[in-house]
Amino acid sequence: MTANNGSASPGAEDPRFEDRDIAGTTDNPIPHLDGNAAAGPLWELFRIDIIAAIGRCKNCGAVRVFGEAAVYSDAPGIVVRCSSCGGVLLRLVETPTKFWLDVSGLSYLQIDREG
Amino acid sequence: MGIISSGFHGKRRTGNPALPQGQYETESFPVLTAGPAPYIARADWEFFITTETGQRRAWSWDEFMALPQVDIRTDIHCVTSWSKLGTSWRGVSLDALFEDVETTSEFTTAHSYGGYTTNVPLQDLLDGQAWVAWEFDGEPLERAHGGPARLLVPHLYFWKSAKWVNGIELTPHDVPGFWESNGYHIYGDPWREERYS
Ligand SMILES: [Zn+2]
Repeated sequence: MTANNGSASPGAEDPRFEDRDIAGTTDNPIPHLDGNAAAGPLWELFRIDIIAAIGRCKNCGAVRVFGEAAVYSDAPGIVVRCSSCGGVLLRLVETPTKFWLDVSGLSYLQIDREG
Repeated sequence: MGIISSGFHGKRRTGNPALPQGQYETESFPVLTAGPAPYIARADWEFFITTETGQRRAWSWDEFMALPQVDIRTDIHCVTSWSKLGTSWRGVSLDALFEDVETTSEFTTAHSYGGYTTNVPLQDLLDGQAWVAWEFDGEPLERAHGGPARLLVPHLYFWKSAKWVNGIELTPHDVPGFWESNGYHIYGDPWREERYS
């Protein structure tokens, strides 16, 4: 698995100049992935390939391909954030008995029909 | 190797009384986060407490540092099943922060820079059970771990110990936070394995 941004330069004079998405320490980068990282579990749930789907962020109104979203999976669940505003688009938690899916950050998802 | 020393090397060993059910011990300190790590300069940082009557108390970093500082040694338990034993922190007890706060609320929501929230009953924040911690292992708390300061409520699963904490809102009801509203337990006692709702 590859993170989008594992290369914050340690020793930068002002931490604000580092990638704002991470606060990686030498041993502990905070990686985020792209929308592919959420595709597997969503396929498992709905049998929809969501990568090419287009979603509208309820927070900022950006309309973007799902695959471009930022996925945080080093967490108690999967959190998908808008790559325009950082707002949460989708959260997915898998418990031993249930999936919990919150899509309240999306005002719509537009999914191509096959064929 | 004698019986006594084996306990100190007992990773993943069942029956370690310091480990709640379903937890294993780790030496590392995994970074878990639901989003980007916000950058907050100490000069811009503040910690607030708001009450149900609309009162607001806030501390700047300097005011916060002028409060009594205590060292905390504690075990921490993450719901993703790692535990880290004997961690060292320094920070301010929530008892000190709540000293002049008048409230009849029994519940709170912790708010973080970056928008994260988690709910904790007020009684779980008081009586020496919770801190706003700014030092880990003798060093300023790294941004990845919630620096400048994070909440530390070690008797509950670690998602309650909100990183980048900004303040505590007293609430009339128990309002589920970020994870509690999407599958995780409203309270989160590791000793009862209260992982999921
Ligand atoms: Zn957005």
